[in-house]
Amino acid sequence: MRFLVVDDSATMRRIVVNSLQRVGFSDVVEASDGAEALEKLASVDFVITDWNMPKVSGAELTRAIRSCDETKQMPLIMVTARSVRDDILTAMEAGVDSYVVKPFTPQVLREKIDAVLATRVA
Amino acid sequence: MTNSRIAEVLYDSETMLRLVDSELDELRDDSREPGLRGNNIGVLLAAMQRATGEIAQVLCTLHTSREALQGVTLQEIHDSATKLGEVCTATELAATRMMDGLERAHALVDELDELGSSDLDSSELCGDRTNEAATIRARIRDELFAVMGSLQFQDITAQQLGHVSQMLRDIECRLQAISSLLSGGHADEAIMASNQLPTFSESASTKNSFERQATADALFWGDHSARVSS
Repeated sequence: MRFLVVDDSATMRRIVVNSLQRVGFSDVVEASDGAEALEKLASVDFVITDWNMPKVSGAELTRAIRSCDETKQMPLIMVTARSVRDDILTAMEAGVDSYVVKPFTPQVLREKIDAVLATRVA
Repeated sequence: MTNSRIAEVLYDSETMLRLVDSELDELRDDSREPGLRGNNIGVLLAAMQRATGEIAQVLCTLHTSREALQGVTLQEIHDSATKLGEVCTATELAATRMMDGLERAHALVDELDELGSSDLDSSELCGDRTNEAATIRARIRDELFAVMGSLQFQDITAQQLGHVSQMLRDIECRLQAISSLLSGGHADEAIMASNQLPTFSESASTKNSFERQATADALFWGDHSARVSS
């Protein structure tokens, strides 16, 4: 399974990539914002995105993914520092499958990935 | 208080002051006419009372607007100071965690060295030592990974600093707007400057991550099953 990690912070991208590798997912590509992510969507199976990014935000990226027939079923997790109720509800409305609050641990990330994949199988 | 409201208040104040000025001019002109001297003291008094009332109204308006400006600006400065305090705490905490983790990893490397330097008496002991070494290596990996995880503070504090930056720009813009309006200029440049901001989340924090994750899980997974099934 190939993951796409989208975050404008290079440090955070490395942390997410290393966390994925830590929990057994080593096939990862990266994008530094939503616009770059949209260009790489065709070659990935799972998206992990930050929210606050220049050009195209994580919420906008999610809406774009959900509005396209080819990608609307793409599993997508938002990993973000936003944690107020309204933000979480906005992410849900945008079509995010699960939500991880920063700072996170690899175990939490793995748990959410497994849960999202389980809903896809079901 | 918005820039348009500031402009409105200042416009009203200026209009009232002009009225007062006009009234006083009128009084001065009237006082030069011989026919009006002496017999119109009552009219003069009434005009002065009206002028006093208008001045009081101007002062009241200025006082209200000053209070509003002061309140907003002071709150933003207070919030900025709070955010900077959080950044200091988060930085200190992350540095301490990383240092602790590195010290533990260092101690584990020493244990590995000791294990490597001891003599082997039997193949059984050799097997034990191999297992022990593997355990120590796994613990070193855990410690190093925890150090890496602690580096998430950088992203979070960057967002907190972005928030402070925005508040400072807001204060700057507000002060520029007042300054421009008082000197008869426009606040457009100040307003334009406030649009060029870094991306950040106001709620970014290194604190209570478990509780915040639990809130997200409750909202998400509480509703998710319904959303998937619909």
